[in-house]
Formats: sequence, structure tokens, C-alpha cells
Amino acid sequence: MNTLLNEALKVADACDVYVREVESTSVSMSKGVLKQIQTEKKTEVALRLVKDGLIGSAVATDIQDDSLIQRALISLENQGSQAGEFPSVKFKAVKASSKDVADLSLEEMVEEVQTVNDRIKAKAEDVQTSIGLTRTLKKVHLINSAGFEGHYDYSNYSLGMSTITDQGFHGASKSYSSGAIAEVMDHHIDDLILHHRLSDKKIQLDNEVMPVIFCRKSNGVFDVTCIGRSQW
Amino acid sequence: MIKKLKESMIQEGFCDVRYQTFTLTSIKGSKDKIHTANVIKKSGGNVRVLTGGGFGTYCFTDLKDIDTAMVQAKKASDMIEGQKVLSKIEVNVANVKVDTPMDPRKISIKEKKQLIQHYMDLFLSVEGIVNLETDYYEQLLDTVIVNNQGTQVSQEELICGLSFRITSKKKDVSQITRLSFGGTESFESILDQDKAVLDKAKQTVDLLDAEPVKGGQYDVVLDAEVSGLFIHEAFGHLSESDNLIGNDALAQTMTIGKPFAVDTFNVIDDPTLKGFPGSYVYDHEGTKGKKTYLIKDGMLAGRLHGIESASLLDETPTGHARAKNFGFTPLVRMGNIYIDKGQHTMDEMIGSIDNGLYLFGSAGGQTSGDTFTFAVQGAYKIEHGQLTSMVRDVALTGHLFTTLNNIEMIGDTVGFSKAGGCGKGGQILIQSGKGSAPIKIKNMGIGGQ
Repeated sequence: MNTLLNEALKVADACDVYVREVESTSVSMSKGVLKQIQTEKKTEVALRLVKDGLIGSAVATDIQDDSLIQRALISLENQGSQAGEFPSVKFKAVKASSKDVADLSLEEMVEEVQTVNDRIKAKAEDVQTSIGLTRTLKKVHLINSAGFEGHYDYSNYSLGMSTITDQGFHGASKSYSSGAIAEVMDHHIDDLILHHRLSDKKIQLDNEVMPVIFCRKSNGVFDVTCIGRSQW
Repeated sequence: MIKKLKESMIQEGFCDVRYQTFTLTSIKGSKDKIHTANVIKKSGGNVRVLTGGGFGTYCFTDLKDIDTAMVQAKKASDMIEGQKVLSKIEVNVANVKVDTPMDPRKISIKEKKQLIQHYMDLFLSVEGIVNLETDYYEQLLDTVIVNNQGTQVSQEELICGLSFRITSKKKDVSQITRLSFGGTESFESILDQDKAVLDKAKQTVDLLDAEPVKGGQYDVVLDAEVSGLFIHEAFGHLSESDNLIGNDALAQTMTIGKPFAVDTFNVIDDPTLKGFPGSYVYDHEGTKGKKTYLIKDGMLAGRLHGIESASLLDETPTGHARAKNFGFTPLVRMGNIYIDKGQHTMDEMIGSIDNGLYLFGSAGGQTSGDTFTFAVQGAYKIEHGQLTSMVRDVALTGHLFTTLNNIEMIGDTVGFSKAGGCGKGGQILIQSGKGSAPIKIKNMGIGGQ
């Protein structure tokens, strides 16, 4: 990172370098059968340059990418974004990772997916399920020409469970996403089954005007897409 | 690099590796200012191994990790119970290079910015236009695909396009429309579009004086863009065969030979068409893309396949397995899907309606199972066989199979959308085209006031 920083400073007044190393594993199961296991290990690099009061940026997957500095300069010269100053402050570490998630093995992930499936089936044998579990670990490093140097570890545990309708479409769903291992609550499984039963009894409404109640998620979408965009 | 990829290959079962360099040039603007101009470049590989009951996959960005990727992908595949065998593998050896009359990579960012700024200024010169979002994209996907069956395909895929989201406003009423150019590998299609810009700006302003549509059931004519969106979203995704695997209910619904529409109705997906967003030679498993009839003479005639779905359903691979980039495994995706032309002129379709609507310009939509809801940019009333006044705030909704059955007339000219784009499994693929002849549908649900 320091090599890139120093190279960049030959053409810029200031810069920062951000490197993120990501490891992620996903396990998916459909109708009680394990379907696919995916793993990724990737490096992501971002460079920001400041020159003559303007800022430009570029990203790559290799810190030795020859074109990174040149692409950041293209951005700087063409987008005309005004630069601020890179900070050099002491920061208080915030815990963003869980050892339990980091230590989770592939075998344990497969077992957890199977367990969630079994718990749903125990409550509703006739309900078909689709379960996905993803574990993501990131190591993030940031340095800048003002002297800042910091890093932190990040973990994410993401579990999604959904039902499959008699017509073969997705029915009800519930998902968890957190830094630590999430606990699948019994009442969430009960809600999932309840909403599945309701979604399996859909009726076709005529085109008519009627009072409606928006759930929280729908209301959020309405706010963002309708009200938010109308505020020009 | 190909040598390294081939040497790392395990010989047991099925194994492939796709190494890609993804370069995306973006120029974006808001209102009258260009605020973003950058070039993103990423490289990496994606290994798939099938030695057990399902694919183990491993994505990497450092070529040094390829041997680990093979070992881990095999371990993952072996953990999946069973032994799946791929029997429908098309072996190809090829090298496909971009060959276009006006390669956008040879035009400087400065020149591109000048052209884009010119169009932006033109839009904003029209009174009543209050906001503009502009997005130029130019994406090169340089791919090498090698598998342990003998396939070795190198391919460049290039696409560039320019899209605008235009907002007009008068008092409390605002209207949003969209306009796109390009969606192809040649920059030529983005040039000389002043008239299209001014026409769209005028239409966006004219919509402010239109009456809101009254909700209800109408006989409608959909223009090529709205029909294309309908067939892509509501039907096309059901033709992607990976959705049918292990889904007996959907497979039953999608039985080949089942009647879906009038016998003059034909739906095709054709990646071999040149110059559209979903045009390509080989898919991301190294299979050649094939023109595929999905509905022929009103009956379900085929579906889109990758190697896995074709093997499981014992059908021919159609070359439709594609991934956004190396970070993703290929899914079965549409290439250029379209409703083929029929026999009716636009005048005949409009003339056959006593009280209905002509809907123009797609504005996004969504499907949920076999139901759909799409917004359109606007509509004209059809009264006694004539187009009369414009109406605004129009959405259409319905049930797929009922709607297909309600298609009564098909226009005699096919048009394609210049804007690609399709989301599936967390992968937004801009190289996805859609088109259609205009169609007349009876008794369509229209949402409005």
C-alpha cells in the first residue's frame, strides 16, 4: 500500500489508498436438498488522488495494477469534483467482527442450513423451503498521505429462508443479517409459515379503489421511490 | 494465461474456469452538470467443479489462488450428496474479437463528455424540463473460458449506451420519462440524436397537461417498448430453465406444446442478432448462443438453457448461461427476447378499439410469480378507432397467462429497446435485450385515479 501511495504522490498533491480483502462462503439448499456451495476470495483496491483542488478515484482488483494511477487521473481531470482534505485523526476502534463467524466451518454452515430446514418442516411438513446462508469476512486497510493508517476486521452472517408455493414461486420469506451469528427464532418460523399459508391462497383483485395499509417495508419503498423522487 | 488455466484443471467430473477482465467507463450527470467520469477495471476468475451432487464454485482475483480454487471447489461439490453428470456439453474452440465500425474505446473521454453535455443542454433548453439524470456506460468484458472437456473460448464483449431520465414539472404536477441510445458495440448509434432528444423533451412537457388516466379495464395497444418489457419480465424469466430444476409445479406449467396464446403469436430469444444489448457469440460456459423459439404458433415451443439445465431436462443447450463478471456464476439469462411480427398495421389495431388506450414508453415494473405490474411513460386515449388526447400516470397490471390469452392482434414491425438491463440472482446484466411488435390486448387492468 505504501508503494502505491508513494507512486501516486509523484503525480498528485495528496492521496489515500483503501484495500479490502474479502472471503465469503455461501451454502444454498432447496426443498431439503443441498444445491450449491460458493466461495470467493478477492482483493479490492481503491485509490483517491487530489491535485490542484480536484479529486479523482479508481478501483482495481490488484494493488499492482499499472493503470490504477492513470485511471484516477482521468477521473480527476474529467469529473471536476472539488477536493476536501484527507484527515489524519486518531480513531477509536469499533468492534465489527465476530470470532464465532470467523471460525465457522463449511461443515457447520451446511449443518445450520439443514437444521433451519428441519425446524420449518417440523412445524409444517407440507411446506417446501429454500434456505441460504452466507458468511463474509473482510479485512479493511486505509492509509493516506496525511499520515492516517488504520485497519479493521468485519464479519457478516446472512441467513435467508423462504417458502416455495404450490405453483413453484417464492412465497413468504425472512432474512437475518448481522455481524454475529444470528439466532433463528421460533416465532419467526411461525410467521414464515403463516405468511406462506396466506400467500398460497391469493385471489385476483379487480382493478378498484380501496383503502390499504402499507407494511413498514412497503411504506419505505413508497417514501423512497414516490415521495423522495418528487422533491425536485 | 490460458496455459496456466488449463494446467490447473482437474480431470475428474466436470470442471471449468472463466477468467475475465471487466472494464467499465462511466460518465454521469445531474441536471446541467457532469459529475462523474471514471474507468473501473477488475480482473479475476471463477472456477466450477462438479464431482458430486451439485456445483462447488470458487471466485478469485489473484491468479496464484487458482490451485486452491480447484481444490476448494471440488471439496464443496463432493459435500453435496449425489453425483450429477452433465451430458449436454458443446465443445468449442474460438477467439472472438470486437469488430465495429466506430469503436467507443477509440473516442476520448473529452469528446464523449462534449457530446453528452450537448444533449444535456438541449434537454434543459426546453421550458418545463426541471431535472435530468444522465448515464453513459461503456463496458468491455474480455473473457477466457476453459473446461476439462476441451472447450477453449476467448471472447470480447463490448457494449455502450447513453440513457436519460427526464423530469418535467408545472405547479404540483411532475412527469418522468426515459430515453436511451446505443445498447450496442458501436458509438455511431449515439451520434446525431438531437431530434430524438427534443421530441422526448416535448413529450415530457406535454404530459403535464394530460389528464390522469381513470383506472379500470381497457382494450389496449402496447408500443414495442412496453410489449418488450412485458414479454421479458412476465414470460421470459419463466423460460429460463434453471428456474424449473427441482420445481415440478413450474415445470408442469411450462410443458412444451401447451397452448398459451393465439396461433399467430411467436416469441423468440436470439443472441445472434447483431447490434442489440443482448447480442453475443458464446455464452459464459463456452456454448454458442442460439436463436430459440419460446412460443411458436401460440404454443410453448422451447426454453433457454445452460449446460446444467439442458443436461437435467435432456434438451439442447441454447447458450444462455451468462454471468455479470468473474465474481458470479453463470445463470440462465435471456439474450434478445422479442415478440415476432404479425400481420396487423398500427392503424388496424387502433381502428379496432372503440374505447381504449395506446401505451408508450416503459418506466419499470415488477413481477411476483405469475402476476405483473408495469408503469408506462404515458398513453393516448383511443376513442372510436382514433388516437385522441394524452393521459398520464398509467400502470398496467395483470396475470401472465390470462394476458397472453387476451392478445388479439400483433403488429407488423418489430422494434427493440436501446436500453438493456435485467436483474436475477443479484446480478444486473446490462447485456440483455428486449423487443416486440406492438400488440393489442383486450381487457387489460389499468391502474390510475
